[in-house]
Amino acid sequence: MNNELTGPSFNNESLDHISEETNTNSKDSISEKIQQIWHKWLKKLTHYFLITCFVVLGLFWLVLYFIPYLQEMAFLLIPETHKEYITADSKFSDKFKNNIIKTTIKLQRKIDSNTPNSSYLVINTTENSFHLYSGKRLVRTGSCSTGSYTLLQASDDKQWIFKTPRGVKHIHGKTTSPVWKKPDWAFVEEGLPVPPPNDNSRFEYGTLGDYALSIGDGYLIHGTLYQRLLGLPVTHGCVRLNDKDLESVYYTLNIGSKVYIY
Amino acid sequence: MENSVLDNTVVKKSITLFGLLKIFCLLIILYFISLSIYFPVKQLKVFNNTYSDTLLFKGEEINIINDDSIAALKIKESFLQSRITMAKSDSICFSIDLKDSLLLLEIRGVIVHEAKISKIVKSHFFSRVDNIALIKYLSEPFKVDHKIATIEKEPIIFKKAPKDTIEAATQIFMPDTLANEIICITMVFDKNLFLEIAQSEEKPQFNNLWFLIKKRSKNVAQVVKNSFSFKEPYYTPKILIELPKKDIKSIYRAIPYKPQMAINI
Repeated sequence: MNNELTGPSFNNESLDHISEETNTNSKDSISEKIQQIWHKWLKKLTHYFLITCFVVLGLFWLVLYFIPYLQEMAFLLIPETHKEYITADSKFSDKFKNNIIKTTIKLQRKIDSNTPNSSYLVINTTENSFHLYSGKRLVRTGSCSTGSYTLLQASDDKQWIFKTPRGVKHIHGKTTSPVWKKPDWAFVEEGLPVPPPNDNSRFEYGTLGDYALSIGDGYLIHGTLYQRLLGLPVTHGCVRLNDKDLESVYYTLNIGSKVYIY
Repeated sequence: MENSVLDNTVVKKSITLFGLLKIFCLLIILYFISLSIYFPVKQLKVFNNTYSDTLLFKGEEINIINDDSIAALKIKESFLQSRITMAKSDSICFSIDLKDSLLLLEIRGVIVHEAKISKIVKSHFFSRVDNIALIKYLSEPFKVDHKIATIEKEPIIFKKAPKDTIEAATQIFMPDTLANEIICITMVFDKNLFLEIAQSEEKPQFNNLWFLIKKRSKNVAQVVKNSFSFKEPYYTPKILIELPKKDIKSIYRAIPYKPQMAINI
């Protein structure tokens, strides 16, 4: 090959031929090298990697599916203890059965007696819906708005959480054309300076709708200007209803009526 | 020559060691598998001994209560008794009636929410225990020991007070009503019961893989722990129920952190 290079018949064609050969040689050497690496450690590494994957997946399956399944299957080894039993004395059996039925009816009545006979309101704060009952009869159902679960942090370490309290509440008072006396958080939330306690800027007319029912601790059931937000958790803890629902609730519930919030 | 002999010995030794390790691992796995079969069977005996009350029934009653139809009536009675006990407390509690496929949310004995259960899977454990023990077991409310869920209990939104009205205008928050989450709750009760409440809607398992691992690995971790300690067996009977998503969410957000529950199996 060297002769050809230095020889008199040296031309471009032979040069191309040489470069092709060199390329083939270098390609061969690369594949040889890869093969060497593969045989030396890559093959082993792949082998171990696959084994590890297999073991990990196997353990995963064993822990998550097989053991719980096996635990349940273990009970199939034991015969069922429950069976039909025919007593020799069927009279005694019937008497025993009747006694249980009588006690069950008595207990069921005791549970039912917990439900108020007068009107009451049930509020679902997750679904933002309400059900109004008069005794056992459902009077009205619809959407409402409850607490937004916002935690407002003021700069002076003061904070307020806007959530509707859960549990059994009672109607403490009823008002028509209520006036909203804005608390401190209403100003803080709007980025306004907090005025003195009885400042005129604290009183807002018409915001709470036509009626308001107090359920204690400053929480109210009232109307809203933002009717399109009904069904969403957007309030500061009060329960907002639309005008028609509010009117119905106002006239159905009395002072002392129960409000179940969950 | 000597070198090749030495190499062969090293290779042989490592192969033997690897083989021994494999056998050892296999033995450990077999040990845990056999224990996981043994624990439920043993737990059955422990349950029967703990809850069998000789004063609850006498004479012929003990024989009659073996009849499933009569036991079912007595279980219903226990269930109602539990609900009455729960009604005395102020907190929100829930009852599961597997016979009527209902989940009831109650406040002071008043049913405020009722959800229809679409699927029930319960452990074979309950059909293997003694009726008397089961009646005693269900006659008192269950209290949640710990629970995990795929959703937040209180979805609190943190908000810093704005400096002025311009900043306040940028902070107006609207809740996300399109969020599509997979809802699943698991509860472990003080009386050794595992309850899973899953959504009845379609639930792609792999979207929830982390919850699935967390839920199931706890059980296995306890089996492993008890296997080493050689103390009492570990097995928790399970009940799985499926409800519509919105019902689970309402119930989960309503109940307190350690709620009480009554169940009719």
